[in-house]
Amino acid sequence: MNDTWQRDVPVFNVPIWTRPFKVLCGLAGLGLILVAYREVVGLGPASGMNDAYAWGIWKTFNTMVLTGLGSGAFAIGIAAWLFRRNQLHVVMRTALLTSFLAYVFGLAMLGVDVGRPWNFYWIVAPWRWNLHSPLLEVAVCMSIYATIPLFVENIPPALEYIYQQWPKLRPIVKQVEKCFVKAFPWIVSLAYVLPAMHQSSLGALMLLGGNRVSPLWQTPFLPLLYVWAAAFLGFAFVSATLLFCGVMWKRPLDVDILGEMSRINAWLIGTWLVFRIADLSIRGQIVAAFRPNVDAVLFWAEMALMAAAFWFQRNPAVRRSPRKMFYGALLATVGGILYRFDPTTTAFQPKANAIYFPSVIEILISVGFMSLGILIFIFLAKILAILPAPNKLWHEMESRRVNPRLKPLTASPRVEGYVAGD
Amino acid sequence: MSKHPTIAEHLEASGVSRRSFIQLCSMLMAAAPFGLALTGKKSLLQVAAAIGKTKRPSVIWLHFQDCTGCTETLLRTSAPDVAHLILDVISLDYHETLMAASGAQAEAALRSAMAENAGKYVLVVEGSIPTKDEGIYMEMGGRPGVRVLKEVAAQAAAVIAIGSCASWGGIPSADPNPTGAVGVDSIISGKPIINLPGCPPNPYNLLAVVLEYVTMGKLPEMDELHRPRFAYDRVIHENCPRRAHFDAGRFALSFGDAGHRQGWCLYKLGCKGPVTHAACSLRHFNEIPGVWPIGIGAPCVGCTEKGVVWSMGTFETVPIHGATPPDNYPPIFTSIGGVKTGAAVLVGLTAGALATGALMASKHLPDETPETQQPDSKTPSGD
Repeated sequence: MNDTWQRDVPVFNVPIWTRPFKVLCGLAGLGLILVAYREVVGLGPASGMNDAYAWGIWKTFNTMVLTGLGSGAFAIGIAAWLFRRNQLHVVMRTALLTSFLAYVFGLAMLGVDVGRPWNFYWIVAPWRWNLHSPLLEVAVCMSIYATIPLFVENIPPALEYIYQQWPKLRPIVKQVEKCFVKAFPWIVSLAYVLPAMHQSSLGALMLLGGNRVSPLWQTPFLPLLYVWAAAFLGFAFVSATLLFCGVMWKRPLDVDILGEMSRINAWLIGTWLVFRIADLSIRGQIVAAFRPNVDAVLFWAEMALMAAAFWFQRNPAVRRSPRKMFYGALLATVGGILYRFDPTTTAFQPKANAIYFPSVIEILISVGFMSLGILIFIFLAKILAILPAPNKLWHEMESRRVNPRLKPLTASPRVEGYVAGD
Repeated sequence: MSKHPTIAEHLEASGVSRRSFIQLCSMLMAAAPFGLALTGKKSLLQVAAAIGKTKRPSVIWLHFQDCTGCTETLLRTSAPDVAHLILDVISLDYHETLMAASGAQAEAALRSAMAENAGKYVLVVEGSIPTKDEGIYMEMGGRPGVRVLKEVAAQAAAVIAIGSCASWGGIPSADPNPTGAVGVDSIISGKPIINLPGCPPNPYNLLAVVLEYVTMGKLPEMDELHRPRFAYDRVIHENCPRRAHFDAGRFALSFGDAGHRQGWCLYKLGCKGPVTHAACSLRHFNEIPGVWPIGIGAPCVGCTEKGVVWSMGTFETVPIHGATPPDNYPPIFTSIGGVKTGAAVLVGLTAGALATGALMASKHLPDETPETQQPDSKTPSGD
């Protein structure tokens, strides 16, 4: 039996203050305390970075890799709007919230990672920009993308909440809605241009690494492969999030929509695998994959993960099984993370014999920021209509009035005129 | 040709090509790019024209307590032509090292040079003047040097003190100063005096000052120690080619160490560049780039500064005004990092926790969804 997702419904039957939520709060609090420690003592005592490796996991993992996971809004949005996969609109709010949190905390991590964060504000002064730096492209696009398109696109759920909770404010909400309808086409198009630019620039950054990056990853196609990886990482991560939330909060699953996401993902992963092998063969670097070293092991781990991810999503029959799709999405996420992480850290050798391994403080800050993102997601999913569900779940919430956080709606259950889900 | 030819006429008569003259003018412009009315002109040709139509300046050069190094620096330009050219541009009427005459002939030459250009010649003084015991520690033609100086300076248009000795006493005045050596401006007053300290100073500074004076009729802009601003307004440290190493905290710690061989900053070896006013870091010697003390790996001794050279220890570091070097000097070798056990365990625990969570979640997901759909599952239910 399949439950068709028709609209977004808050998680109403679970209290906010649960045990996992408390654990996440503890981890986030510890991370923030350590951030204060790092800002006081500086990078040297707090991190495992050295003169050879100036980029630690805060930049390579929390910013470069996790913004790949935050590409759901970019990838699913392009599929839904440009390629008219209209059924995907119902999962857009999930994708938008995960993307927004990934980008905001990615940017926040940069503030921890760079040696002189107090110079950060110069990003708003274009006349001080170094136009010859690819890092500038990343910094400007990421900041604009997170603060304008992603922020604006996440406002509708909050407006709906205001509409329901405070009837007196409804005329104002209606006015704001009119502005939104006018601005949305521009905001949405900006939301696809900016990430396409900066995700490829992340690849271009490693392209500048030259022969410090292992030949297994160093290719002129690196910018393309990075956008490509962003696309399947976005799909895979949003699928995994939806399935995990379905288990955690016992929400009905729509196998049709999840299957459609898996189908697109299988295509992206399959062609990506072929492209990578072809690129290595044509460049004559395929032999590097058979040398007995760590790089080759990582390369094959990556290939195996991606191939397994493809296997779990390969045909319509497998895509009827939520469990197999979950495995597929998880393996694609882990494989994509590895692909993003390898050329920046493990397969990156700036100086002979140099080693970088994150310090305990670095790991705890990294975990703390991820926990903060997750707990904000959990909190907002319980307050706002973020996660998709069948219509009947909304009526169940209405009739049982078990959600003390939401007053019952007196008018129509569907708020009129909203651009649902984007 | 008249008795007092212009510089252009003289050069033509001596067979100097215009090309060589233009080259000299361009070197002059490079040596004194600002601070002179002469080189402030729009083009090289205007500078050459202004110099060319000037009468050859008469120069009388007197030696006192010196090592003749300042004369050597004038003669030891990398190309011999340049030295000859300088001597063609100025009319060096009396110079004890360069003239052929000696004894009574030399004395007569000095007197006739003074008489011919009385009130118009430029007096260049090299070496410090002994004043103790009425100046008996140095005699010229049987008279104490100090008396000769006063006599020649009385009829000079301007006095140029070349080198640190003539400027403020130099080596002869170093403690305990047995001869009571002093610079020119401690003895002569009422004449325009300009100091060109340095051991030796760059010869182009002398040429620029002389030509500025004879073409424009005035001395260049000077600081409170009577040094021309165009060459002495900044400390060596400001434009030092090794400055980036100073700012990055990379210092040679002993002669011949890894840092010294890589051309790092010499401050820790006692370089006096941060307090020494001179243009050495911009205009090197002998027309060869890199030929100056710091350029060849020797710390600056501060030869232009009275209170520095022969007053401070050779390896003593000077106070820095403005940016200071860091308290901790970084090592010469780059750190390469390592793996901490605790961190590795933590990574393992985090990855394990995430994997376990994902596996446990997957157990709760159904492995099958029936192919047949409920007939009303696609329509929104109203209940």
